[in-house]
Amino acid sequence: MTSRAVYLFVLSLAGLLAGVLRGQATLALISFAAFTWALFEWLRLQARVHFELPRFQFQRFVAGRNETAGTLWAGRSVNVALRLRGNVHMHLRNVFLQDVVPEIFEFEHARPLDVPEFAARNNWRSLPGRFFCRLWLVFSMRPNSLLPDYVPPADNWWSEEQGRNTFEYTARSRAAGLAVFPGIRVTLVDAFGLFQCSRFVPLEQTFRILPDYFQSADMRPSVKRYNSLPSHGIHRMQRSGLSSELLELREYTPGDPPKSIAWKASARREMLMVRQYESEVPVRVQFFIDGSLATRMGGFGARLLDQINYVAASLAKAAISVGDPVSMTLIDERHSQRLPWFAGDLGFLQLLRSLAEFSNVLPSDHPRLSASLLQFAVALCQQRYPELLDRSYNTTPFSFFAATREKYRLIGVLGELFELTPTQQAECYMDDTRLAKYAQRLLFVTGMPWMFPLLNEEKPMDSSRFVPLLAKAISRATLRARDNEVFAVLADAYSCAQHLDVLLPAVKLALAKHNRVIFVCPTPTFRRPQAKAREPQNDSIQELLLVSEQARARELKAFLKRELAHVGAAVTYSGERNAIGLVISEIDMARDGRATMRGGRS
Amino acid sequence: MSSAETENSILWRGCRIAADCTQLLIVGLLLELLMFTGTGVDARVRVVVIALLLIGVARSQGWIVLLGIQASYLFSESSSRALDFGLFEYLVCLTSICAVAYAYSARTIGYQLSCTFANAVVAALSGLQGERKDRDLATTPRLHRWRLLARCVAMNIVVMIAVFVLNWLPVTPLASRGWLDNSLVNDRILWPGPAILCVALLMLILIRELSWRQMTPMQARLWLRSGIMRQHHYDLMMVVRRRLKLRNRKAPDVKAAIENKTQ
Repeated sequence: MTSRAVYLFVLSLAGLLAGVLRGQATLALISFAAFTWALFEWLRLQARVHFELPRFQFQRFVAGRNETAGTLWAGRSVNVALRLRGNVHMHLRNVFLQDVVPEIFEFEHARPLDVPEFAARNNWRSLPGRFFCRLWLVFSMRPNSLLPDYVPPADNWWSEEQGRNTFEYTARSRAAGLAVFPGIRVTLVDAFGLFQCSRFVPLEQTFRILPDYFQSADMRPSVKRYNSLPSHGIHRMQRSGLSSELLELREYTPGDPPKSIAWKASARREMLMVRQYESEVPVRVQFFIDGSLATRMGGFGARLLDQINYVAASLAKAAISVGDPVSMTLIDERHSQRLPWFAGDLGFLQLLRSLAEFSNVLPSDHPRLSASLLQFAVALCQQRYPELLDRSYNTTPFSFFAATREKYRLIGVLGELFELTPTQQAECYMDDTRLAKYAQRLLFVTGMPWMFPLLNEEKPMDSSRFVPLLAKAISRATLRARDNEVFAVLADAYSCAQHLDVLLPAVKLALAKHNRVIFVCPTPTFRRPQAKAREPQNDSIQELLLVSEQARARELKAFLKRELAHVGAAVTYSGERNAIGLVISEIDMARDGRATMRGGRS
Repeated sequence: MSSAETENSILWRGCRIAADCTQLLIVGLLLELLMFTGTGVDARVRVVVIALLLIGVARSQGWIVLLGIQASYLFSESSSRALDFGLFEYLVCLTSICAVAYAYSARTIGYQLSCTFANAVVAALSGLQGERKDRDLATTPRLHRWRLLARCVAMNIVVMIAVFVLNWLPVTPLASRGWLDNSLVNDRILWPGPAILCVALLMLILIRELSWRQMTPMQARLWLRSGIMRQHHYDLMMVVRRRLKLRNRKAPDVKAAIENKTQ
C-alpha cells in the first residue's frame, strides 16, 4: 500500500462516518464508493500478482551470450539484452522492471524519458520510487540519493512499446574485478499508483573483468643500441646465438652444423657460407602490486588500483610480446602472494585473471557502524530483497523509535541472508560491531566499491603492515632472482613515503645485485604532479581539492625522488603511458647493459 | 532534424499542450459543478478552490480532489433521516470517483489522451500535405480505448456495489427502524451485526489467505524467524547482555595479562 492508498482509505472512511452520522447520503455514498474502488484495485493487483508474476521468466544476454559465467574487459562497452520469455504481451502493463546491474558498470547509452512519470512513496522510505503506467526498463543499480556526488548515478529510462519482449542497453565496465548480475527486480503496480508489489527474480551471471592495457608498437625503440662491454646477464648483444635475427654470414669452418649453411649465398660466392644468429636471453620483469586499502578507495575506475592494473597489464603485454617472462607479487595488508612466471599469450591471460581477482573488493578489518552504513544497507536490501522488507512478514520487537524498528528489520534481513542463529541475531541488536560486520558483508556480497561508509574513522588507513610485507617480498624476489632483472613496484606513494626506512634496505639489496628498481606511483587525481604550484582556477570544492592534492603529490614526489634516486632507483608519478614508457626504457637499458639513457655504465 | 519534422514537432507539442489545457478545463468545470452547484459561494473563492484542486490533479494527488468534494458535501448537503439514492446521486458519485481516478492518473491517461489528440491532428495535417510521419507518431504513447472502457465499466460496478451495500445496511435511524420492523415481521435476526461480522470475517480470511499464498520461501522463513525473535526477544536480550558484559570484563583482564607477560 502506498501513501496514496493510505490517504484515500483514511479520507473515504472518515467521509463515510461523517455521512452516516449526519445523514448526508451523497457524502456517504461518495466516500464508500471511493473505499470500495480502492479495495477493488487492491484485489485486481493481488490477482495479477498471483497469476502474472510467476510467469515472468527472463534471459539476459551479455555480449550476445547468456552463460552463467564469462569474461569481459575493463573500459570496454558491452551490449546487454534482457529478454522476457513466454507470452508476455498481456503481462506488460503497469510493470516496473529493474535490471540490477553491479556497481562496476556504468551506462553509456542513456535515452531521455519520453513520458512524464509520477512519483509515489512506497511503504518503505530510502529509495525514491517512480511509477509508470507503461513498461519501463530501469537501469538503476544503486540508491542514488545516498551516494556522494563524485560517483554519478547510472539511470537509464527507456520506453518501449507494448508487445516487445527484448530490452537492450549498453554498459561499460569501469575497472577490473568481479561483476555479478544478481537478477531483476519486478514491481507490479496498479494503474493509479495506489498499491505495489515488488519481487526479485534471481538471474545470476558472474563475469570476471580483466584489466585493460595499452597496446602500441612504438613504445619500444626499433633501432638496436650498441653495447660497450659485455656484462653478466646482458642479452641481445651482437654476438652469435640461437635467436631468429640474422647477425652475419661467415665462411664455413669444420664443425658448423649443416643446417646453418646458407646455400644461396654459398652459390653466389662459390664457397660455403654459414648463417650466424644473434644471442637472446630474456630480461625477467617482476611486478609488486600494491593492493592495500589506500589503493582501493574510491569508486570503480577512480581507484589507484585501477591505474596500477592498467600499467601492470600494459607492461606485461609489452614484455611478453618480446619474449620476456613476467612474474607478479600481489601484496595487501594481510599477506603477499607470489605468482609464477608467465610467458606467452596464455600466460598473459592468466596474469590478467590474477589481477582481476586481486582487484575484487575486500571486506574491511575494522568495521564501524554508522548511520550512513545502515542507510546504505537498507537501500541495498530494498533493491535486491524488496520482499523481505515487507512489514507483514518482517515483524520486529516492539520499540518506540522508528529508527530502532528499521534497524531490527534490517537485522532480520541480514539474519535470513547469512543464516544467523537467533542468538547471533540478538547480538546484532546489542553489538554495533557485529551489526557493522554483517552490513559490510552485505556490501561486499553486492559488490559495492570502497567508499566512506566502510571505513573506520577512528583508525585511519595504516600502511605500517603493508610496507614491511612489500619490503619482504622485494627481498625474497632478490634472493631468487638472477642478475639484471627489472623490479617494478606499483604502489601508493604516500604509503611508501611514510615507511621508507623499512623499504630502502630491500631496494638497496635489489640494486646491489645488479637489478633495476622502478617505483610507479599513481596519483588520485590522474594527473602528474607539476613542478610549480598550481593556483586554483575557481572557488569550487573540486578545484581546491585538486590544488591541495597536487601540492601534496609535489612534496611526495620531491621526497621520494631524492631518497630513491640517492640509492639508484627510478620513480614515476603517473598511472598512464608515461609510466609505461619509463619502465620499458628501464627494461631496454637492462637489455643493453646501460646504466643511463645515454649509454654510460656505472 | 528537417524543417518539416521541426514543424511537425512544434505542431505536435502545441496540440498536446492545447489538449492538456482542455482536459484541465473540463475537469475544472466538472469539479465546479460537483462542488458548488446550488451553493452561494463567492466566485473568487470558487476560482481559488478549483485552482488548488487542479494543482492537485496536475500533480496526480487524487486525494486532494476527494477531500475537496467531501468537504463541499459535508458543508452544503442537508441531512436526512434516510439515505435515498436516486439516479442523480448515482451519477454524482460516479463522476466524483472518475474525477478522483483521473486525478491519480492524470500524468499518464491525460498524457495519453493529449498524445492521441496531437497524433490525430498531425496525421490529418500531414495527410493533407501529402506526407506522413508515422515514425514520429509511433514513438508516442497511445490511448487504449478498450482499456479505458473497461475502467469505466469497473467504476460503474464499484458505485453500484456501494449503492447496494449502503441501501441494504441500516445505517440511518429510519433504515434501522425499517430493518427492525422487517425482521419482526419475517421472523429474522433483529440486527445485521452477525451477518456483517460473518461477511467481514470472510473478507478478512480471503485477504489474508491471498497475501499468505503469495509468500515466497524466503518470506516464509523470515516470517518464522521474526516470530521467534519477537517471542523470545527479552530472553535473548538478557543472554546477550550477559555475554557482552562478560566479554567486556574479560577484555581488560586479558590485556593486562599480556602486558604483564611482556614486562
